[in-house]
Amino acid sequence: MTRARLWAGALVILAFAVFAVQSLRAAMNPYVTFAQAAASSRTVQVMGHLSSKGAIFYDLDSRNLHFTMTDQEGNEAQVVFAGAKPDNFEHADSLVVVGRFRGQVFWAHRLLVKCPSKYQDQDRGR
Amino acid sequence: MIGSLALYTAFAAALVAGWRFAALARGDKSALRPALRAYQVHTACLAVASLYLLDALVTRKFQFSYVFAHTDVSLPTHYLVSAFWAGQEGSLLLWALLGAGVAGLVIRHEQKLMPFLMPTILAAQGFLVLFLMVLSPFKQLGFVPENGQGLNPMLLDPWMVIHPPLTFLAYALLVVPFAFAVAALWKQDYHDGFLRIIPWALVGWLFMGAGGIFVGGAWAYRVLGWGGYWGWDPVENAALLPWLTGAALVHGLLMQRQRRIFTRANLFLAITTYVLVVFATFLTRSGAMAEFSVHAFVDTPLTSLLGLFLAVLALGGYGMFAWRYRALAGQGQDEAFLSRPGTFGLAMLALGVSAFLVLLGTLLPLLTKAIGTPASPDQSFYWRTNAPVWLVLFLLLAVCPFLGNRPHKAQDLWNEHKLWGLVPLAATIAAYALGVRHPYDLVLLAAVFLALGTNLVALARYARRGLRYTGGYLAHVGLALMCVGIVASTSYTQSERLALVPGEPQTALGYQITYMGYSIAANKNILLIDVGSSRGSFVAQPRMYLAGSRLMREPYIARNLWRDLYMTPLELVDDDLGAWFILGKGESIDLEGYTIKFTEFTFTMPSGDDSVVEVGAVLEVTSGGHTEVLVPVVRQRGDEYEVISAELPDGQVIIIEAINAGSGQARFAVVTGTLQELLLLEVKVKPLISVLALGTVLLIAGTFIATWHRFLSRG
Repeated sequence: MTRARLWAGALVILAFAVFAVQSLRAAMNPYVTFAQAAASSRTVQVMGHLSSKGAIFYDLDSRNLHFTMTDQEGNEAQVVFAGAKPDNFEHADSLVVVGRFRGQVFWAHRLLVKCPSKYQDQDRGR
Repeated sequence: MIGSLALYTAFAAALVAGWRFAALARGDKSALRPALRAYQVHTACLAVASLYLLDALVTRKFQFSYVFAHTDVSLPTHYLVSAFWAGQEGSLLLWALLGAGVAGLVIRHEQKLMPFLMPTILAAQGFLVLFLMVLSPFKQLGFVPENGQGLNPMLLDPWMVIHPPLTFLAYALLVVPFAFAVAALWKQDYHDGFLRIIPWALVGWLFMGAGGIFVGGAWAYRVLGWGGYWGWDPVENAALLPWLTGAALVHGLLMQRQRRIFTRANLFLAITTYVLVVFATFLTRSGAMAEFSVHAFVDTPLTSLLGLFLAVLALGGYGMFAWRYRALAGQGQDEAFLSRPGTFGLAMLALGVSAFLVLLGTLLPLLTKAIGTPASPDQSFYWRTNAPVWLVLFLLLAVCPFLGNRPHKAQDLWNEHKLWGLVPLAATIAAYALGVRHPYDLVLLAAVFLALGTNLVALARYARRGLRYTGGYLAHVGLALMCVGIVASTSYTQSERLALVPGEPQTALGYQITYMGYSIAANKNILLIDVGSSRGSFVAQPRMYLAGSRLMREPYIARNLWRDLYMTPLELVDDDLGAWFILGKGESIDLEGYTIKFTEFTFTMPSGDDSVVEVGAVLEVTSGGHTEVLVPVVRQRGDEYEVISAELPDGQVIIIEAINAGSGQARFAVVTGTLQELLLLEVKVKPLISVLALGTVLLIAGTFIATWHRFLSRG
């Protein structure tokens, strides 16, 4: 009885561990550069900053946010983000975009902003 | 000067008091007086330091770097007080002050155990004051500025005024269960003395949830404007972790009191909960996560000291636990699954698994960085892995009110209570009818509604015996309601972004939305938006304003029993309403009767050197069989850009908006020449936020009642 219960417990734990690892795999977003992102078909995160070259604007038909971002190796890419421009977007120290390339354009489904250090802990932008 | 002196004295006094209390614990009766005296000095010094900082803030002494950084002349007095905890230094001071207060409560209520508890508590106090000595709130600038930099505008909200003090109160309280665990392991008294921990653990856990998580979530929802309350950010996770282990702890303790089981687990959980509190502090204040969080952390000089504090706590706590581990064996016994102790044990296990998953996800960037490319998990990881765990928790919650301490047979349970089976059935059908389609959501909601029903009945039964016995069931009813609200508002939120021209109504998500223009009050743009639905109309007033260089967006939330209408202004623009498009070399586009083909870039340097560079885009524009070549130009002089347009045959102009030299692309715009005011607005309909709020209030109320009951029911 106890032995059987032990086995059943172990089986449940094993099944859950496999499930957790699977979920983790599916949800893992590596931090990469635009060059690596372009070569990859999975969802990735790119860290960088707003490029001074391109304009920042909402496309009025799709209401998506368009901007140009420079990654940490200095490469630039057009980014489209379907959502609200985070507070302090223009003055952010750095940006993180989560998404993937479709053609020449990086489609972000999350856009994270890191603010200048004056505002410390409780700060965030989404 | 006074402030720093007070801090140094407080540190010395904490050491002396801790040393004397330890002597008292070893039997030196004469140590009591000096121990208490030193504790009083410690507390008095922290009070003096706090008053000194408060005075500097309220009288706006901008020569203090902390006052300069967090206030300005225009800040109203009540926010001057909340500026106390706007930065690292002040919030650490608040934590230390509250810690000293909690230590006073321990001295008053735990006279027998006090000598064994106080050395641990005072060691923690010593570390906190040490941090303050390194990162002093009394640092002077060396001159007196006219004005300060002002409080972070996001903190100008009543919820944010109370969020940090409540959180730090929780931190200050949760050291007590840790101290109880240490004392129990030290004295090898695992029941009679140790169980006095119960109200302490409950009250610490209460403030952790109420202050650390729920108030923070309410603030995020009201102020941040992204339309959510929880984002699985490292900072949020750091508050959730001790709450989860604390939940396991309070349940384990109640069982230990009744049945003398789970002793080992409870000691482990009491240690872990406080270790996680300090771990949270380490994570959010050391810069360890700086690369991976949206929160902007500064790398403070505290990193190594905080690491030391964490190491001392973890090594000390877990070290003692391991040392006594064998002696602890045989304190518990094997429990059948279908019994009250069995469900408590499984629930504690599930909470522990949930905490482990959150910890794993939070630390993943650091773990993966150590072995290669850093990566962090999507929010989906937390939702997906916690989903089955919480399903198990609600199933346990549903059957628990039927169970006694003896093991039950599943068959008997079913025969006795099979009418209850109708509840999940009805819930599933109702949820399906209301639009819930995801199979997992349906299963979870079935379990949640069963738990809601059985706990409501138990609540009614216990309410007859007196309010003080209802805490647990009330909290569980609240938790079930919260889960309903979370599922609804997370998976079934609808969202649309609108571009609104003044006076022109648009329909979105069942509302007719008309932008009426804006008015300005107190330097804020108040946008006036008429919202009409079948139930009448009202004017929503979200705001946008500049705080320093930051554009702040204040959402407008129309609250409703079934759904919140959540409106965030994105941008107010003067737009020409023209079309834009991106072309690479050789590509063409059909637009408004024209075919526009981009053939190549031209580069010219009109002044002979590279001080002025003109980049042109050669466009072949065809309309009605006639082709002409247009060359819009961008002229760059140093950092300045000048746009030179080219005119289309019908009088519209075409300009280059941006050039990407790397990919050989350019973005063009066709401009009509007349500007039009435009509001970009995000509209969300979030269902059952009110149920989530109600559930939260009930969970807090239930925990409060349970805490009160446990304080009353001991000697």
